Amino acid sequence: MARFKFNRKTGGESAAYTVAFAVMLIFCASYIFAFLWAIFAATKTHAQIVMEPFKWHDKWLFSNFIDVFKRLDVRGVKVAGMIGNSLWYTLGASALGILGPALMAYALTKFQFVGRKALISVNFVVMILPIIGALPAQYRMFSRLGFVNSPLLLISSFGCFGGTLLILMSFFRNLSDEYRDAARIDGAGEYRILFTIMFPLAKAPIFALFVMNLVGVWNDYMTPLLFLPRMPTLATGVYLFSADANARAEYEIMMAATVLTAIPPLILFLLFNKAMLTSLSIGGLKE
Amino acid sequence: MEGILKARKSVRRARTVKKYLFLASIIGVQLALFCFFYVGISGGAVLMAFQKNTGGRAVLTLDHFKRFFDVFLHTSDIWIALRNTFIFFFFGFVMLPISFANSYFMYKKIWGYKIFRVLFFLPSVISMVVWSQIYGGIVGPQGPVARLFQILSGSEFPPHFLGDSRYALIFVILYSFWLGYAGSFILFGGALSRIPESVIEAGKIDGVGWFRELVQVIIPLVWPTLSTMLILSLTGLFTASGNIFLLTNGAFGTTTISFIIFQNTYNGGNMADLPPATQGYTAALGLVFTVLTIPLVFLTVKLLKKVEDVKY
Repeated sequence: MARFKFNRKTGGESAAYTVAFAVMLIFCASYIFAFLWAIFAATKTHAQIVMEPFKWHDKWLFSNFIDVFKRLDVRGVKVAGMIGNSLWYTLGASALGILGPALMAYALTKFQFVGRKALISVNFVVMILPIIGALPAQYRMFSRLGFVNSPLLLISSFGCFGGTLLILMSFFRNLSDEYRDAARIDGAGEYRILFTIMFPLAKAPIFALFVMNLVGVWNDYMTPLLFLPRMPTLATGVYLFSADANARAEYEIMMAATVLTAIPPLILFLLFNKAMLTSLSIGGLKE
Repeated sequence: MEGILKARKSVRRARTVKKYLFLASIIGVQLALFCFFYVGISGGAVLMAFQKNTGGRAVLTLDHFKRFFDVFLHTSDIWIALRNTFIFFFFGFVMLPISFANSYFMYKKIWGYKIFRVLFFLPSVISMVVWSQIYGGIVGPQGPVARLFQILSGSEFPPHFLGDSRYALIFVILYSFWLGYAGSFILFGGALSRIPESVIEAGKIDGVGWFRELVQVIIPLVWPTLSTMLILSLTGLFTASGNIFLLTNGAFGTTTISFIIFQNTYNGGNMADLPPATQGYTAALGLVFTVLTIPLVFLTVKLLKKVEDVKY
C-alpha cells in the first residue's frame, strides 16, 4: 500500500478529496458546535436564555446540573427514578435484543435443519414488510398481558429477527468450522461448543452490537413513552418535560437534563468506538 | 450385517433427535415469542380494522374503511401525509449514495479520517430528543439562522422556520440531512474494509484510475451491502416518524402516514381511553398502506436483483 501512497493524485481526484474534506469538516464542526451550545445554554440563568440566548455569559452556572436532580419532575418521578428506569430498561432490552438473534444466527448458519430456509425467508419478509398501523393492536395486546408500566415489557425484547440477525449471520457464515469440528472430535457437547468456542469467537461483533443497542435503547423515547408512561426513563423524562408548557419556563434546567442524558452514551462511545467501527458488516462480500 | 446397519441407523436417528433438541433449546423460546407477538399483533390489527362495537358486542364492519376513504377523498390531511411520506422516502434514497461516498473517502483514509470517524458517531450517540432541542434553538426565531434571514430579507420579525407551513417541511428535511449525512457508515465501513487489498493493488498495477476503481471494482464488491441497505430503506417508507414528532409534532404540513398512526395511538399518553373507533380507523389506514407497500417492495427487490445479475 505504502508504495502507492506517494503516487500523485490526478486533478479530478484531488478536487474530489478537497470537497469531501470540506464537507466532512463542516458537518463535524456543526455537531461539536451543537453539543457545546447545549452546554452553553445549560449554564445560563433563565433571564439570560430568554433575553440573550446567543450572548456569551461570564458566569457559567454549573449548579444547574445539580438543580436538575431537584427540579426535574415528570409525573411524580424524579431524576434518580428516571436513571433507575433507564438502567433496567436499557440493560435488559439490549442484552435480550442481542441474545435472541445471536442464538438464531448460530443455528441458521451452522446447522442444516428442516425449516431453515423458511426462517431466513421469514426474516426477510418481516424486515421489509412491516405491519403498518399495528400500534393500537400492539398496545392492546401488551396491556392485556400486563406489560404496560411493568418490567415484563422486556419479554417482548427477546426477539429473533431483524438487522441484528443479518449482521450476525454474515459473521458466522465467514467463521471457520475447524475449531468446532475439532471440539466435536474431542467429544465436546453442543452447548459447550456454543458457549466456550463459538460465542467467544464471535465476541467482537456481539459486543459491538450490544454497545450499539445500549446507546439506541438508552436514547429511545418512543417505546417507553407508549408502554412505560408511568415509569419515565431519562429520554422520555426530558421529552415530557420539554413538551410541558409549565416546564418550558425552566429551559435551562431542561438543557441541563439533555446534557446529562447524553453523558452515559458518550462515555460508552468514547470507550468502545473502535470496537464498533471494525467489527460490523452486513450482506457479505461478492467473491 | 443387518444388525450393524440397524445399529448405525438408530445411532444416526439418535443424533438427529439430539440435534433438533439442541436447536429447539437455543431458538425455540424466541421463535415462539415471535409467533405469539407477530400473529397476535398483526391478527389483532386486521381484526381491529374490520370490527366495531355495537351494544357491547363486536361485529364485523367496513365502517372504518369507509371513513378512511371519506377522509382520503374529502380532506387534504392524508394527501399531505402521503406526499410527505414519498418526499421523505425519496430523500432517504438520495442520502444512501451520499453517505456511501462519505464512507468511501474515510476508507481511502482522507486527511483526518480518524477524527471524522469518531465524530460521525455523535448523531447516533446523543439522543434525538437532545438534537431536536438544539436544532430548535439554532433555527428557532431566537436563533442565529432566523436572525440572519431577517436581516437578509429585511423583514420585520425573524421567521419561525419550524412553525410556518412555508418552511417547516424544508427544515425537517434539513434536520434529517444534517444528522443522517454519515448514515450507515459503520456498515459501509465494515464492508469496504473487507475488500481484499490484493484486488485494489492489482487494479493499480493495471493502471486503473480512481474513478474506474470506484465504479468497476469497489462498488461491485460491496454491492450486497448496498443493495441490502437500499431494500431496508424501503422499510422506513411508512414507519419512520421520529423527527417529525420532536420537531413539529406533525403540524405545519409536515405529517406523514406513519406519524398519523403514531399520533392516533399515542394520543397524549392516554392509550386506555382511546375510543375503539379511532383504533379501528387507525388499523384500517395501516392495513390499506401495508397492502399498497407489498408490490412496491417486491418490485424493488426484483430490480436490485436484476442490476446485480446484469452487471456482474
